[in-house]
Amino acid sequence: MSETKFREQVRIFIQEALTPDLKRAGELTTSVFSDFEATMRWHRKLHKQGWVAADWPQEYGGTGWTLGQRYIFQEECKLANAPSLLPMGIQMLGPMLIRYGTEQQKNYYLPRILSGEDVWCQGYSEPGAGSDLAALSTSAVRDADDYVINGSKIWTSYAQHSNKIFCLVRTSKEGRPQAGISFILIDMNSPGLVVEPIVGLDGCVEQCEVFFDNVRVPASNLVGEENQGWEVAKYLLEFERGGHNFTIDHKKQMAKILNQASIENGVNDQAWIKDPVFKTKFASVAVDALALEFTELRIKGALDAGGNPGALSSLTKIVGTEIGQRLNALSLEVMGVQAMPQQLDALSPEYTGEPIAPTHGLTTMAEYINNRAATIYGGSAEIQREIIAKRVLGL
Amino acid sequence: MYIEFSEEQNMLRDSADKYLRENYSFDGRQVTVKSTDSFNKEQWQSFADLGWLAMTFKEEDGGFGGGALETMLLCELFGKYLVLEPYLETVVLVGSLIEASASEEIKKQYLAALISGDIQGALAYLEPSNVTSAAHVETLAVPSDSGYSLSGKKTVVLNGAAADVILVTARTSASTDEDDGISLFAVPADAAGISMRKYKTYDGRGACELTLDQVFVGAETLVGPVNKALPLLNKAIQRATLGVSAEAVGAMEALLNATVEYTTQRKQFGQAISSFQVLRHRMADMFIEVELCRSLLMATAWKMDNSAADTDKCVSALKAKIGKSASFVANNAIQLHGGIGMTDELSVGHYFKRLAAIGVLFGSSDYHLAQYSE
Repeated sequence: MSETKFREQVRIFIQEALTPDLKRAGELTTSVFSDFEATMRWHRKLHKQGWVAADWPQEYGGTGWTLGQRYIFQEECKLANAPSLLPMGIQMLGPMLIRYGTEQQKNYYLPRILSGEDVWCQGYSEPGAGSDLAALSTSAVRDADDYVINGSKIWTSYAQHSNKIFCLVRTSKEGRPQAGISFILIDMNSPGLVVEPIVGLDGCVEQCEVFFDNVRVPASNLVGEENQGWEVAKYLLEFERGGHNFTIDHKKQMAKILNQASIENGVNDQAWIKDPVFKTKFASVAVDALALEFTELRIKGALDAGGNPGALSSLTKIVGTEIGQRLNALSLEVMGVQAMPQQLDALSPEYTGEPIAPTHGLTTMAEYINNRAATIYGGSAEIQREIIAKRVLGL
Repeated sequence: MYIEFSEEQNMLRDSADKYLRENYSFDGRQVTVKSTDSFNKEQWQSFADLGWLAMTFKEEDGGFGGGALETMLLCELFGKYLVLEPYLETVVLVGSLIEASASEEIKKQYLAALISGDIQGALAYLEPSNVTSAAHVETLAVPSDSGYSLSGKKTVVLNGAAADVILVTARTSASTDEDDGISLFAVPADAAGISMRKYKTYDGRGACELTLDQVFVGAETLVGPVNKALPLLNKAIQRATLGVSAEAVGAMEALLNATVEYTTQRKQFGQAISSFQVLRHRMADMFIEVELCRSLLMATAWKMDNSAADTDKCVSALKAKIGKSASFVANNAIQLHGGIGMTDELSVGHYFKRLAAIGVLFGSSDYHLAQYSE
């Protein structure tokens, strides 16, 4: 089927399935994650349609779509302001299980990821192991048919909503740090497991700390061999070779800013959109966003042609997140003091009262604050530059 | 869009890269720079023999029918090897204008000779009182006998010192800054009434200040319709903008590679300076700028060849980005080379100078950001 026809099909589905409450949740998204309840409602609708795990191989519940079709689907969902699906199960654990899981693990866990019955969080970073993840020390000691887990994980997104966690744990202290790490699946209801919320700068709880005090986990919950965990985790980097697509988010954000700038007055009592300084600043970031858009097309083309766009993928995370932050800053400048009222309940899709901030600037400050983290998570901008220096430039 | 180059395009790029790598040395280039010649005649003849000059002309005019992609491929290599021969001025600007819009007589007089490498061209369109706007033309073309009498001044006429034919913008009607009323004439460089002050530019090329004092030209020298030359001129300038942008990407990549190589060789404090994180990350940032520019460049060339509706915007985005990125890469290339980066002896500084010139040619970043905003 042609891409135009496919896009039409996707639009028809979204029109029907994306109810006003879900759309509202999407519009009020101020971080990587949308409102949890709304996200799972959307997840279940997509699952019913068979579209919740577009990237998975068809035999495991994927759609069998071409790369182009997957891009179109992603694009249309974003344009329509659908809530963002949680990535932990669908984008992370799923592909890792498909590659490294036993038949029993696949048969048990994959359908539960698809249905949304299991909500997974990712237990990687620790207080002493962020950028240097291999330095992790949460231990897993074998005792009969179990592993006994002790330690803690931090920056565990949405742990408070999750019933399962996948963790990198230390099973050996011999040799290189990477060589002593295992990948294990843990039930959040296990005795000895405690979740502590971390209040973020934006006033919301997105991240948590998870403590393990002699938590017993069946040894059959290991994914891959003991001490093969690092390889399992690295596989994901290869699986996601194209990197995150930033262009649609930028286009939406730029359209939003132009709307704000046409409403808000700046210098000489005329709308910001007429101000030459604003126009130049906007054009400057828009040009960079355009350069990134064409770079993402080059990556897509390389993937389509069976190549490896490795070098280009390294740059998209750096550039994409930095452009996003510049856009946040520009939006804040345009909204001015109107962005200052903190009204957390107004950011919930269930809120029926009167927001203090104008509608077109309701999420501005929250986005600006929350997105400060974009250049830190998922491989900090400094780590990404080091990757370019080492692997691309050979330094 | 993802550009899949054709076999011919890949061959052109690979063979041109090989030729220049083996036959165009920095030292040889510097001999030309220090001489009074604008370019090396043997090199130019080789370019002609290799078919490069013919590449972007129509087949019926003796060319190979190439377009923006071919211009991009060649110009990027010219940037990589610091080629100073006037491909941009003679082929991209003058050649394309003559082919597209000149009378049969003028085409007959110049086109074949240009393609075979026998004559040089220059475009004289900027004037001392305003070097930003192509529409700012004070030079007058007064009807006289069966032709025109041209009087005025043109500034920084690139390749003017070597040109055999000069395309000159002059007003045939309307007032100084109006878009309408501008005409383009193909003036022989040795016409009576022409005087030139020849010089070299900082980036090693030949140019001149041009004065026209009642220079008589026949009506057949009109390139394009009378009063309506500006759109044609802008199209040629757009192609040249793509050309210098491609040159910039080639130069930027060459600088990045040179900087990577230098910092891995240079030892201080007992180790290669490439082990210092500040420098490593600086080079990572240089890589990012090169690739972002390359993405914009390829997209723009493709859009130009496919007459995309947003071509003009894309060209402005490209030139705006090139200006900023080239400045970043060139500045840091010198910075990371330390003191020797500031010598005439090393090629690094010459890339820097060419990129500085490209930054201001055909509109600076600020100019193009303003265009992009419209």
